[in-house]
This record gives sequence, structure tokens and C-alpha cells, in this order.
Amino acid sequence: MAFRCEIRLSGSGGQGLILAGKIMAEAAAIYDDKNATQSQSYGPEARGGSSRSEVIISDEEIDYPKAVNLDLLLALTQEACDKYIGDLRPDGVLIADSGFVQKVPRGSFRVYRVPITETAEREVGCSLVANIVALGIITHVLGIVKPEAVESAIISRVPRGSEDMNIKAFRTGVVLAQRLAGT
Amino acid sequence: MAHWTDRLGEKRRADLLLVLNEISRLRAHGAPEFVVIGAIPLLVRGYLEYRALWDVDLLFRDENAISAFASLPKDAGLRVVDYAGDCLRSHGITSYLTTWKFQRAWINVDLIARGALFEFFRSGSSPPWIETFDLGDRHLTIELPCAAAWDIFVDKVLSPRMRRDIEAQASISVDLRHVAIICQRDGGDRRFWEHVVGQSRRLGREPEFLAMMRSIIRHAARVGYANLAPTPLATRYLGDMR
Repeated sequence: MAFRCEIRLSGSGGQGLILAGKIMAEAAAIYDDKNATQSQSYGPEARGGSSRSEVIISDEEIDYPKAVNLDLLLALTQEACDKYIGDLRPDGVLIADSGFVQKVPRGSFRVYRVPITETAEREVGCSLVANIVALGIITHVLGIVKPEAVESAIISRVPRGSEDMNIKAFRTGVVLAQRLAGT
Repeated sequence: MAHWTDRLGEKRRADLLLVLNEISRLRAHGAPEFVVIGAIPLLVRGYLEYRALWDVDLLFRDENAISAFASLPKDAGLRVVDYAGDCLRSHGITSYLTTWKFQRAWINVDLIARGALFEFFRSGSSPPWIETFDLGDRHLTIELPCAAAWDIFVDKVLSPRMRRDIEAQASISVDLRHVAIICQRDGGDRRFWEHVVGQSRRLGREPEFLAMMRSIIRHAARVGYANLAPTPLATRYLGDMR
């Protein structure tokens, strides 16, 4: 059966959300034979404030490229969570960084409160890869893009010989999600 | 040797070429002046050799020029959707984010204004990039002014993102990757260093550029770009690397 999946990655400038969105879209469109669009909310040098990146993935041609009814919302800040939760489908998935999102809105959606940034720091030694950890969680939770495809997209973006940290971050996210889901 | 279109992905190739052809047609029919910036100029000149979802970034003189371009009548077979409904303004940058589709894939076309940087990129963009393609029964002609790779290098080195990425040792930084690729290819050429240092001076940011370049080279190996190790030629232009 055909699917269309709308994902929004939200937080603040400098958290690498736009790059994460591009990696997810490239994983789907280039390495997993699906269709994908990716958009972002601000100019190339903006800093601070809110930031968001949207990815739409489908196994058919994408007729409308804007996200209107989110299947998954990643919130790395409380502000982003509060701002965008209304766009999440009632049966959607909220993934919130528990280090920064203290108040999770009520709703019928599934909620994963995960220490994303803390895990990036503790397990990988670098908070900057929190975006990649988040990609691992999203990949497992959604199950629509092959993990190998996401790893290929990550590897294509880093210099040869330095893939380890980013792949470790991604796999750490996958394992986190597996533990949460009990799978 | 692979052609740049091999980096587009099969599903997106036709749409990107049709979009670039349409932008060329608009330019030939009186569109406000613009320069192609971002990754496309590096891609078509063979600097970038990986596959990605390439966006088209067009730099305009100001917001009025963006509005004029956005409102131009376009090909009847083209669908255009704007992402935000209006221009976004942040940190001296105005951007109007759109996505275009002719056949099956949406191609992001970002219309951008960044004040004085328009003149900076425009002066180095001639002659325009010209290339023709046969796509089915259509003959496409792309003729677009593209920012010079060495000017893109200067802009990326001076971007706030670069400082943060270097401090955080972010191996996955897009800007750092592009800077490393350009430096690897052209860093052995004295004219390259003369150009980039001269252009930073023209922007009134030479000390900042030199300091940032020294910082990039010092930290490069730690983030996977050992090829950026200081050479005698680079040291001559950038000063003491310690």
C-alpha cells in the first residue's frame, strides 16, 4: 500500500536540523529508491531562534511538497515542541529530547522522551552529533527508510576515515529507539 | 570521467535540468539580475563528486528583485510552491524558499538577497556557464551566471557556521567539506591564494579571513581533512600557523 510520511525536525539554530533533514531525504531518495522532498525554515547563516526542517518521504511521486499533517515531530527544545505540536496527527509520533523538553503536551499521539543530546555527549563524546542520534531514533521508529540507506547518506557527507563518530551516533540512536520500543 | 549530471540521481536529473533551463529562459527574457551561488557552481565545475539532493540558490541584489523574479510568468508545465508564503528575514539575509517541479521530482529553488555580497559574487561570475542537453525530444540550453568557486570559498570561510563547525570539530560540516575540496584542488596554485586573500581584503575582512583559515588548517586533521595540512605556499599567504 502506498505511503506518504511527513516529518518535521525542530529545535534551535545550530543544532544541525537542516543537515539532518537533508541526510534523511537523501537516504530515502538516493539510497532507498523512494521519493523525498526536504525544506527548511531559514536562511543559510541564521543563528539561534527556532529552526525547522521538513522531510516528506513517499513510495510514489510527491504531489504536494509541503508538510500539512505530521506523522512525526522531533522537538529538541520546549519552544519547538509547543509551537509545532498542533501540526502532529492524532496518531502521530512525538520524539522529544528529555534534556530540553520538560512539559510534553497531552494528546493521543505516541511520545518518546529520549535524552538525545545527553546520549550524544555520553556515548559518542560530542553533543554536536545529537542530530545524527535523532536520525537513528527516527529511522527505527518509522521503519520506512532502511538503516543502511541512512548510513550511506551519512558516509557520503563526511571525509573518508572520519565516518566512525557519525555512524556510531546513528547506531546509538537506533539502539536507544529499540530499547524504548522493546524491540 | 563522470559528468556532473551523474551526481543528480536518476529520478531528479530531468527535473533539475528543466528547472535550470527555465531559469535560463527567464533570465533571457528580462528577469532581474541574479547569480547562482551555493553548491551548483561547484557541482557543474567538477569540484563536488558525490550525490545529493541539490538545491538551486539564486542570489539577487535585493528583496525587490526577489519579488520581481518570483512573480514572473513561468512555463505552463511548471508547478511552483513557496514554502513559507513570504520572504524570511534573518541576520541580514532575505530568502524566499520555493520548490519547482516539471515532471516527477521537486527541486528547491531558493531566492536570496544578502546585501553587498551580490556585487561580490556578480563581479566574479562572468562569463556565464553555458551547457546544452537533449532531454527526450527537447533541446535544453542552460546559460547562467555562476559564482566563482574561489569567491564561494571566501564566503564559506567567513560564514558564522564555519567558526562554529571548526570549534565543535564537526566532520559532517557542509561548508568545511566544500572548503576542503576547493583547497585540495586549487591550494597548490599561487593565484588561488592571491585571489582569496585579495577578495577577503575587498570585503574588509582580511584579518578575520586569515585567522579563520589558520584555524581551519590547524584543526583540519582532527575532523578528517588531513589534506589541508599547511604547505609552504599556504603559509606564505596565511602567516604563521602556530
